[in-house]
Amino acid sequence: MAEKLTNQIRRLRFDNNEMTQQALADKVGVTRQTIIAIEQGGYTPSLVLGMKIAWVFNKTVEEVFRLEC
Amino acid sequence: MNRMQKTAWVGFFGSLTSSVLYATAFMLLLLSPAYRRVLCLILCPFLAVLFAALVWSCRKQSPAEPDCDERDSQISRRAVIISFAGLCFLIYISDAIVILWTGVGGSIPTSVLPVIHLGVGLLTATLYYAAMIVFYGKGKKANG
Repeated sequence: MAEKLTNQIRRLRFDNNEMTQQALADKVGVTRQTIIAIEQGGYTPSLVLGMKIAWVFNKTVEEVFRLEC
Repeated sequence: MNRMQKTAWVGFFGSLTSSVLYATAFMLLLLSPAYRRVLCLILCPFLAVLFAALVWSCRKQSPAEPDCDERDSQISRRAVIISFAGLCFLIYISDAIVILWTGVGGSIPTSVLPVIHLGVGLLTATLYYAAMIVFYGKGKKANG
């Protein structure tokens, strides 16, 4: 069965004063293209990067990312 | 585009153009050494354009942008694996051509072998950058 990692990054960005992808990328130390790829499900981030993103939004990793089977 | 993407594009066109120029130079010098000045005239603008492209590729999207993040590293690793496979294939093909051309007991001038290796190297570099561009292209368009 194929598992898919979905995320709420786009919604969370807009809930946080419409944070731009570049601003989020700068906060977690990656390029904007990586944030775009993660948002669109084209790239699965490392655990460290996932936790950094969750911390930026003051959420847990499970609140940002969800594994769908 | 981030720095790695820009570097991949510059590297791709640089190595591809170098391969073409290299092949052209080799053929022209085989025909006549008098073409050396013409080759210099072609090479100088090419180097100037390549330098300008390298300067452009060093520009960052923002001051906080890292030189290379985890996705860039992953893409680079995959491109290295593909280009290594390509390198093995190109060495095999070039050696096979030399053996078929000269025969089993034949020989080639010592100056030809470095020329072949340089050509294989340029094509491997082209393959590496092309693989990087393809892997970056698998992500969708920016929208935010």
